[in-house]
Amino acid sequence: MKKTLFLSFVLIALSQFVSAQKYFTKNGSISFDATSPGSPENITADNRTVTCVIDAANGNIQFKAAMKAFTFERALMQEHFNENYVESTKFPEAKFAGNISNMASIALDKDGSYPATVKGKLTLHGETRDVETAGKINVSKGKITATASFSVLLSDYKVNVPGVVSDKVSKTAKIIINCGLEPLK
Amino acid sequence: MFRSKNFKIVLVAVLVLGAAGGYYAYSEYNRRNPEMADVKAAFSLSNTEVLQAFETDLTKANQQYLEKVLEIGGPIKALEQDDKGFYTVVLGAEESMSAVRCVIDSLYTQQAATLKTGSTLRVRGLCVQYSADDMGLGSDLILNRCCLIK
Repeated sequence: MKKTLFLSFVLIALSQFVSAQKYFTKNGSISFDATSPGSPENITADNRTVTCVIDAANGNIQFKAAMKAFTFERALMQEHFNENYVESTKFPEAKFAGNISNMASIALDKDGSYPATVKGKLTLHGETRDVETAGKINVSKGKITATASFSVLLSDYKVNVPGVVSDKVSKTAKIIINCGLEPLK
Repeated sequence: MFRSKNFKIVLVAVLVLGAAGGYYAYSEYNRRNPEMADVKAAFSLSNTEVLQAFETDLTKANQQYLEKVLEIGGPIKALEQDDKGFYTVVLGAEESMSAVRCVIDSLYTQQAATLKTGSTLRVRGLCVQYSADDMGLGSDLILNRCCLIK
């Protein structure tokens, strides 16, 4: 009986330890800027519904973002984005799956600012491409924040910009990610 | 004389049409997303009703609710604030991993700060996505630009 109780205790403690290896958020933010240089018009949007999971044990990292949750300042721009550019009904989510290659040097239980090398595959508009970027993981008083920024070539993801607005919309979009993470219980 | 009079009428008509077209283009270009407080909800449901609809028949629920303004009522499971101060209210049962996630319009940030978990709330927002459980975190229905209903 004592042995069974002891084993149960060990299993429960172990499961807590294993589950605490993952960190997540469902309200991360992604913003992008596709403003063409010299254009007076800002082509920017924000999305505050990003889901992100990091597995501290192996450095695996996943993101997903609902395309229709990108909010633009101008409604017409938002409609064109969803209907003509990224076809959000047909391709409702952008996804990233990859790995933090230097996870072993990041101590999520210790305050500090850690550089993170992230490699993986980004799927957007039904197209998947390899992405590599240098991000950062900040740990402050137990609060973990993952940030990264990188640029994507719109043509890589078959996002076609009509000629009539080519002077306003850049051929590349700068993407900024900011996620406050908490342990997955 | 006749030609001159016709010419003036045509000229005035062209100018009026041009001005109307210009005004329409200008107002359409500068159009903002409507505030949810000013929009009538297409459907009014509880958090359990709407989640069950998506779990039972995803295609049907997508057709019925996606891109529609929904008014959803339910218990506040969590109140999340990001590092920019924006709130997301999570409506759902404590024991369930699935929930309705309501991104609160910044106009309602102060009101959202006063909400308490465990209390019930009604929100109105644009239904943008049913996010299936492909990361082991539960399924979520996402409502954007939400306003709080008293």
